[in-house]
Amino acid sequence: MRSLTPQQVAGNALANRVQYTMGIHFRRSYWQIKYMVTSNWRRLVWLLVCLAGLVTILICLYLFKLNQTILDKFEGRRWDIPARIYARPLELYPGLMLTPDQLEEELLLAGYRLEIPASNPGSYDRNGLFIHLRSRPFNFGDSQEPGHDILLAFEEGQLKKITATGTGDSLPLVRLDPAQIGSFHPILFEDRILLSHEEIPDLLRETLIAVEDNKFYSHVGIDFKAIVRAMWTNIRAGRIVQGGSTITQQLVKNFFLHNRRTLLRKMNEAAMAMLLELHYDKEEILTAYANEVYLGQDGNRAIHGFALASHFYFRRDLENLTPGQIALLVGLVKGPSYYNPWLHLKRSQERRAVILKVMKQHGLISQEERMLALAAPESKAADLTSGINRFPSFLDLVKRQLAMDYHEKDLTSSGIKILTSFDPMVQRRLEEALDRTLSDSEETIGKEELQAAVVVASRDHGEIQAMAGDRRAGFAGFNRALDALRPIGSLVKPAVYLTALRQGYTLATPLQDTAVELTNPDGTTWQPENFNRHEHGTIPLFRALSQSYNLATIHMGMDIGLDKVIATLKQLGVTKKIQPYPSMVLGAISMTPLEVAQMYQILANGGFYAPLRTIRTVLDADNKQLKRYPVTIEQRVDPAHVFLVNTALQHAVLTGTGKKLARFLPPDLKVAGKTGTSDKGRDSWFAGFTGDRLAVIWVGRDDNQAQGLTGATDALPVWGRLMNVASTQPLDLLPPPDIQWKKVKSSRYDEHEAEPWDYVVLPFLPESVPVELVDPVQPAQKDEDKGSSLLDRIKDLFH
Amino acid sequence: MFVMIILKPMRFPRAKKFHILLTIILGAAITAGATLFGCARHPVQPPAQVGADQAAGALIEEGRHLLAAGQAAQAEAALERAIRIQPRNPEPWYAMAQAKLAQGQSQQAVQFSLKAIALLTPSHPLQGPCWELAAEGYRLMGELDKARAAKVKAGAVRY
Repeated sequence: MRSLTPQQVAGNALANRVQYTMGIHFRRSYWQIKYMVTSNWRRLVWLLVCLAGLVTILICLYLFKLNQTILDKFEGRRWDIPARIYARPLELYPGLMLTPDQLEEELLLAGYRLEIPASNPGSYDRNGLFIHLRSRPFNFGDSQEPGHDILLAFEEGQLKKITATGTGDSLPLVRLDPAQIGSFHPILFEDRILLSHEEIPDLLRETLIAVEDNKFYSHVGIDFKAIVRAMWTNIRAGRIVQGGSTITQQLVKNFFLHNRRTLLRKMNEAAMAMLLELHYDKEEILTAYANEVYLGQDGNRAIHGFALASHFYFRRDLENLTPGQIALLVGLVKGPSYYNPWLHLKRSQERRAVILKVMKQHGLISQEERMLALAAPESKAADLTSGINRFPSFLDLVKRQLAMDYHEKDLTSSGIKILTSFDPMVQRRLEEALDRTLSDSEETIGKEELQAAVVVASRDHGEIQAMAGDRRAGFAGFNRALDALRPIGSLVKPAVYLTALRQGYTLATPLQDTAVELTNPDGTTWQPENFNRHEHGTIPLFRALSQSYNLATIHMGMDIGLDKVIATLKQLGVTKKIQPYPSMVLGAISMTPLEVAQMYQILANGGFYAPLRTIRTVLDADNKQLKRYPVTIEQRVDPAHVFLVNTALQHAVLTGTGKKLARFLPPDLKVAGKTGTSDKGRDSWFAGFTGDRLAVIWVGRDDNQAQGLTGATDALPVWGRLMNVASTQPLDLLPPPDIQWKKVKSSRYDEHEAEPWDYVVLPFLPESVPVELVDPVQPAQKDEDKGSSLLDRIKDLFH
Repeated sequence: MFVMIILKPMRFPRAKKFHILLTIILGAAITAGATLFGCARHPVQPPAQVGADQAAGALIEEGRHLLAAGQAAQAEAALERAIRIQPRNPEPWYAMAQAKLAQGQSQQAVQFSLKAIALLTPSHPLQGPCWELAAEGYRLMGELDKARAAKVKAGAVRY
């Protein structure tokens, strides 16, 4: 006999009852009815099971998708260790030209704190001409610099003495840890200051948790009690006044910014929050939150993360904020525009007071600190003290140079450090000089909408120290220093004259500065003119260059051959193709300020090409050297010829087109430089060098409109103001061996009368010394004649 | 001239004596002024030089030690620091040329030697060694004519 399952027993019972109810009217067979009922029951169960299974599968699929989304998002932004860009380390040694003010500026930029007395690494304490500082250890990859505890004494614009505070020893050289000037995601290259979890100040961390999510460390991504509480409050109020979102939920919300408050979105958010908690620990989530949370708007730029917000609102590093400032930032989380301290001061202050109260309740600050913070007015800090991402032009070039050498995947190895040649002090001086000069030009002369670009490099080893791609400091946009292609005007002339000198011309070779008409290769004719529209007759070569005479240059350029000039330009690092039009020798060539800087670098470096670099070293997260960018040099032009050109360029500054520099610079700096002006005054250039630095300045307009600009009136003052404060080394050109000095006529050769001051002592190569010239002179004697005054001689009596 | 005035004052008439006195006083004033002015204008230049010399000197020394110990790459880093502090000092450029040669980078060894030479006065004691090094670099590159010419220059140096 067949045994019955419990279902069959139940089915039998039901069948009996149906049979009974239906009575004899609907008499059906027992088996018939039994089959009917069990089949319905089974179908129902089966249907339910299928449905449940399907829903589960769908939910699983959906969760899987959510999981993928959240993982992609999170993994796509490994906040923990961003790439960092550093300035050059400051080398301190006795005799360094440095004032305590300049050092203090540098220290603040590097994120040092003023502590009295300086007791922690990264702090300093100043007393007049003395600075006590405790530097932080720094690993440079090839060498490790320990932290120092030193006392610095200054005197007369110099660092006088370095004393180790522990031992009292006097130190010859101390290298400080460099200032961080940039931080970026290696792939996204975005403007965001990213913090690792150790870098989040404890007070900020604790306050965030106390205010936003009390149970952060214990919940699983969502806080059910808080949701119920929020719902109850909202029902009583009749509207939404309180949210029960945890920090994790808020992070999810920040990832996928949709502002609709729908139930589905809430559920999504909750699910994703729990998934996030499954994959990452609390510290990772909190760090991501601190880097991601939306805290304000700067024009088109969204301010994400506390570190960037700290710079945006207070212009300083997060670690240097006061409790009141931290309270303000935490208060902004609830509504960055509603509580914006610049637009709604009162609201912002009330919110800050609420946060401060919470901080006090949780024992994060003392009552005194709370009162102090409440009393502090929260206004926009005027002084920029930190340098992260403040120098976008320079960072732009760093990133481009990185992109040339690295594939994306190399850069994704997180936490790389990029050590650069950036000199914040030079940059600061440059920004001041630009701002002042261009404002002057616009206010007093009525020139409008001027723009500018600047490249400053070291003279001997090709390191870029400062840069401006826009006249506005800190402005990240079109980088004119790298991308503005402009006609360089007379800046090309040193290359033309160098070509001539290499072919046996001398600084005294007579040139004809007379009217000329030329035919271009395409058949058109061209009549060049001098800047002052005069002709200057027969003049010595050095004078044609120092006075930047166009007609003399054209005559000479045609004599030596345009192809030769082009060959010289190539040797001077100009890589683009140049058409052999006669106008080329007067600068009808468009170049960027950076390209011009490379060309003048070779002159400044006595004929040695040193590719202009920004990056010194790239280190990985463990300070292992990934790549070093060493100094490389290559002799491209005979130093003797470069010496002659540079001497003429010194004359250009002493008596020629650059003589206005005397207003800004002492003559003993012996600058060599050249002005440049393009057709109708659209572009103003000045390029030149001192004993330690090279700078190229361009001033003009983005729309290329004629403004009556000239190299001497617009670019030159920027150069002068910059070098007045940024350069300390005079340009002492070292004459090559066997050079001979002769006194020659400096004025027109075709006019007979010459006064005693119409003579000048010039250097000549031994194979091309002119014979008909006046006296041979020795360099020593010439130096005495030129350089030493009566006062110096009297002074010498007493030495 | 001063000595003459002091030794034989009686030969001058009274008026001339007054003039001389005036000249001396003026001269002294100018001298004092010049001294003060001069000091203010050139803030103790020699000590600055000494400090930079010492700082760069320490780094060059470090570079040489590292080079002797076979750590040419680290030596380069120290020497580059020296070059940044004193770019016009030929010594770190020369030491750098040695570091390049030690790493088999003959071309850069030649270039750094030439750079050092460009910074040398004709009678500088490094003239000979620099040209020797350049000659060796050229030889390794197979540019024997240039090597020979450099060798001649190394030999022709007057000390």
